[in-house]
Amino acid sequence: MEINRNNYETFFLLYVDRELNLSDMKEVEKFADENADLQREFSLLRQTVLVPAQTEFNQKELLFRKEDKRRVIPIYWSRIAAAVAVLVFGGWLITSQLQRKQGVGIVGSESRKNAVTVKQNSSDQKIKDADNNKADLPGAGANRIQPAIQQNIAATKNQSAGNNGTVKNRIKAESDIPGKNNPVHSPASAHPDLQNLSSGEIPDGTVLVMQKSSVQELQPADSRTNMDPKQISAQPGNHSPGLLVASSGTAENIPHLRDENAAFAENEDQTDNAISVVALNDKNKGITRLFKKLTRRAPTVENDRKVRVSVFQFSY
Amino acid sequence: MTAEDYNDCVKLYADGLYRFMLKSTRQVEDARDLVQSSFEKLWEHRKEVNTVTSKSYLFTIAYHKLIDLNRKNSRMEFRESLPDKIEEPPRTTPRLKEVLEKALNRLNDKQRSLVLLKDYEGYSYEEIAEITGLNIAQVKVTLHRARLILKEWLVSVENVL
Repeated sequence: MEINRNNYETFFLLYVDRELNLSDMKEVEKFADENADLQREFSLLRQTVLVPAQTEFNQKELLFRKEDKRRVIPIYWSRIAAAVAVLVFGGWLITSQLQRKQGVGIVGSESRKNAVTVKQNSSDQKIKDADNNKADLPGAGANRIQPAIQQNIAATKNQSAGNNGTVKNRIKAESDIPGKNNPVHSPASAHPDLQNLSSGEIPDGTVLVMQKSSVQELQPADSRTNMDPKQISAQPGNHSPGLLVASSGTAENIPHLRDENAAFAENEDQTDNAISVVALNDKNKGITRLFKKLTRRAPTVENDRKVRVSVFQFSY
Repeated sequence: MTAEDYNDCVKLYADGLYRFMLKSTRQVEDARDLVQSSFEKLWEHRKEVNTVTSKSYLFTIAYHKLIDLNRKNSRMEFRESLPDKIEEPPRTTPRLKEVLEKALNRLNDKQRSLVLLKDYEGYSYEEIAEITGLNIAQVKVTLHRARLILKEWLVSVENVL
């Protein structure tokens, strides 16, 4: 289409909007030059073109972005469940083995829940057997207590091996108990159960039976059933040299025991290491804690260690 | 479009888009918000946008956001306009650029936007039609009317001076 006076405005506007090719633009410029009356109008339209201002957006840092490279870490529930199962099974296995080991002996720290209950029937029978075999020897009671203490200590050693070295050290003191080497009578040789004990076999409840018998042997046989438990005390004729059978005032009646009790008072803070024994109470016909803090670690004197059996508590 | 391409778009087009928005809205904060929201939308749709057409896409987003804002402001008459001379220091003698700035304010929103897209960004009729959603004839007619209004304003100013 060719520019003329009828369509010149459209060509002028297209020229201003830069919508014409180069040849058409030259045609428009030529037409404007040839028509002086249209020259001013052409000039005004060209002035309507806006000139871009230098405007800067000064917050470009808000617009810049980075790819989100966060890595998705999957949770493998099946693996977690398998690991938990292995841990639970391992824990159960270890616990069961520990419980199996603890079932061997009956002696241990009461606070550590190592005490083992004892069957009363077998204990009573063994008490009778021990009484029957008890000779008329005055030192027999003391001699019978010693194997019981030995077995008690042996059981403690087996039970506490690796757990508490203090108990292990305490056990060694058994050799210093007076009368141990007394050749007059050996209960272990007189009774089959005691022979088993001396050979290292520890049937259930045997140790407790020996403790029971040793306590009763401290009393005269004819007055055993009638005696008030409060009256049970250490008597010079039948008590075990290493055993303090104590109600209050007992030790004061016995000079050499009083000295040993004085030594105990100095080591009263060692009760955590005490060995407690669960025994029978015939009078109440139930299982009560007859002995508390039966043995304690004795103070070391010239590398000699002793075991003390003391502080009986009777329930009535 | 990758993140790098997007950041290139920011470097290349942020100023022009801000200028277009500032001339259209005459509000600095509105212009900034529109620029940010436009680039935000470009970022969200970057995987669907070709790098070649990213500028057109960006201005399309901005234009539609501008229309939304103008519609919103048309129902709210309390907005405060910036002074016309905000971009330039005050002068004693009016110049052509200042006159055109005033003349630009006499255009309606569509005419102003099309003139800005044409003069500032150099888009063709076809591109403006694509951005604004108008056909080419509508763009052409609208621009011609805007030019004639600007010319008449220049004539009137010349008569005053």
